[in-house]
Amino acid sequence: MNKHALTIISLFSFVAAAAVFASGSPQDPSKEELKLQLPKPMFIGTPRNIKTPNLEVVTGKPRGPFFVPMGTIILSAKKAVTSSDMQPVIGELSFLTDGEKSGEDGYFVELGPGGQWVQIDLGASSTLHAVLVWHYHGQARVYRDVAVQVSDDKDFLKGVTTIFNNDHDNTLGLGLGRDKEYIETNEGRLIDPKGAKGRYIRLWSGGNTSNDMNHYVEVEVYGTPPK
Amino acid sequence: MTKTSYRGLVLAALAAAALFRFPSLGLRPMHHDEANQAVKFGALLERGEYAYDKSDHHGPSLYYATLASAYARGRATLADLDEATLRLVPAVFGLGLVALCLSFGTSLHPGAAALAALLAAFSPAMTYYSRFYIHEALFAFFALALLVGLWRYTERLSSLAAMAAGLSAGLLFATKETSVIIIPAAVVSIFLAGRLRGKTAFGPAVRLKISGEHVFLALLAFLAAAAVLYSSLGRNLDGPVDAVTAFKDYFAKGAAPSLHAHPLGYYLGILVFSKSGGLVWSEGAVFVLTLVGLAAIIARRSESIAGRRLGLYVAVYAGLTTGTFFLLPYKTPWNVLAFYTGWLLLAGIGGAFLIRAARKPALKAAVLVLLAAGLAHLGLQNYRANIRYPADPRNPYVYAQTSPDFLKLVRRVEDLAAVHPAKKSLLIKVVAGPYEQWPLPWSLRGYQNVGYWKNPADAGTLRDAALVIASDENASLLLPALGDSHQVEYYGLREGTLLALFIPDALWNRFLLSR
Repeated sequence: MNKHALTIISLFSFVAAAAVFASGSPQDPSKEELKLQLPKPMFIGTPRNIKTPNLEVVTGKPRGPFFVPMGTIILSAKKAVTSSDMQPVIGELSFLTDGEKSGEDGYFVELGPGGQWVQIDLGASSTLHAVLVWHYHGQARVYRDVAVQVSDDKDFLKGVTTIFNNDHDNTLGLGLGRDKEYIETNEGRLIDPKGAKGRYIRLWSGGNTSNDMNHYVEVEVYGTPPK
Repeated sequence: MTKTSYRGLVLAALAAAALFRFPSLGLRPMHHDEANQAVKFGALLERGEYAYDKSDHHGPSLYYATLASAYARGRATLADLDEATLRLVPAVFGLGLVALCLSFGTSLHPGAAALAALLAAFSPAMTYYSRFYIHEALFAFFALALLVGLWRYTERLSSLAAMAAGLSAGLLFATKETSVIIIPAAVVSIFLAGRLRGKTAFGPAVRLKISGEHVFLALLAFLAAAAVLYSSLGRNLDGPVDAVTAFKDYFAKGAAPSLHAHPLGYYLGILVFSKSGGLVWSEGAVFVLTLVGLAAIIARRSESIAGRRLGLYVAVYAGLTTGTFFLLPYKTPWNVLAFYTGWLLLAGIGGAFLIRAARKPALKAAVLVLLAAGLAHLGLQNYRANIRYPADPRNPYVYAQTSPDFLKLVRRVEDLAAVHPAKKSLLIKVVAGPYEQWPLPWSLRGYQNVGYWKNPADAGTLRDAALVIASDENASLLLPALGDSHQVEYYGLREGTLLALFIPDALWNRFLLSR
């Protein structure tokens, strides 16, 4: 007989026999089926990836106005940036303070996986009134373990004020964060430092919902410089 | 080519196919579609329930074939199943496809057959979807079985050969609705090839004569296979009817898709060249050899490699299937398997032709080195596609793939259930549209109380739930009500799609104390 025919017939017979066996399997008499009242999942075909360049605000509403003391200026523009990863694979640390906030490729810096920080030297100890952070807003994404600290100590060993922390399970070891996670948008995340003072601002993150890497498009620090 | 070297190549092809297909089958997170098939199979495994669903599922062959894998690995319920048990099925058929490349008999030069098998074994696309619990690997296997079956029938003109071809077509039809493209393409190709007259390198080309009895037997085998499977082994007589009426929907979906519409050159981009995020992908070795094979057949220079009739048969089949899938607006990357088999056969012919055409030893050695380099390139990309970047959006075979981040959500739910008094009976409410629900039903298969709703309004009170999982759209609706009393975590479901996990503060604090 044709070998091919034999192969196909054997395969089909095997599958059919297995199916018949399965349909006749007796149930354990000591057990009964658990009747769930909960709705079942809906079967549906293949989804499609969402392509949302420059994602708009999730709530559909723009952020409301934020008021700061008179004389507040941007302190971070063109200031020096250092990082726990001084050799980023993509982009440069200077992107954080260059004023470009596009969500497209070529405007973000990518730091290594896991917990990483970037640090901006404002040049002098200042009173801070607003910090705006854009990690990456080319697609819907949440950055994990976001924490922002301010200090006059460049090593952040003393005099550290934490102005934002959503590391709710203390992965970074900075203490339990009480702030909420958020979805990145082109508006950036506005953090209220409530007048915290410091020369250095350090921003932490621990990967994101798309991959384990850390990204920054821009960071803007607003405040009043020392007189 | 000596028998020893042929056997060595065959062994290498089968070993490579197995090595690429079987290890680490659980590595990639379950895709939406895989989870869909898995849950449907779970009903068949646990309760013997299966009914063809023409709206959202393809044919029955995958589910019945999976019974063999589940029994072999001692799995009796959906909760018992794992990714490897399910993906073993396409992997076995993927290996079978490599073996089928060697089944054209003496009409195909053994070097061409072995090279086609090697290329199929090394191909990243063939491997990727042979490790993917959907219908494609079975579909490609049965399509090649039909191609081989029709060819062997023309050689023998026997009743058994006719029935084997019919059975292959029946199983192909019972696998996926796109058989409506493959079966006519194969039949037209064999008839065109059968009209050839004259002597060929492999002997006289006998004009194809088909008896009515053989046609009847082939049809009988086709109908028997399709009817048995589509009717759920005789328990659902609507199944075979639905299998036919389904074509109305599939024609509409194929011609004017609401999702998955892609341009004409989409498949070329996947197979020949793509570049994303610093990664470059190409199965160019196969493509170049396919063109060489095609040119040799058209120029009638390949007759010492494949008989003129076989060459024409494979070329017409590859052309018809490739053309049809390219022209259809509806495109998903796994559909490449349906026509890529034809390319691989042509590539085998092309490679063998080049070796034969290189008469000088130095030139022959150069061709062999190039072919080995091509295989090595495919092998390297195979590793990258299937082991290094199996769920990375930069991988061209990845499509709407579940993010590895999703597995962190599953682990978090496991950790939270471990500290909850109800353990795995805790109430989980999933509030997400169907495109955001999967693969949760697979990943949460071990939990007894999981409910799924599209909208928060339909889910009743959410405060009675131990956990709430919501799409990001629904999460923004739930935040005002639950935000103050729940910890909220976001997880990536797919590229650009998030799920939010709402954890009551009491449970969250218990979890923190347990760490």
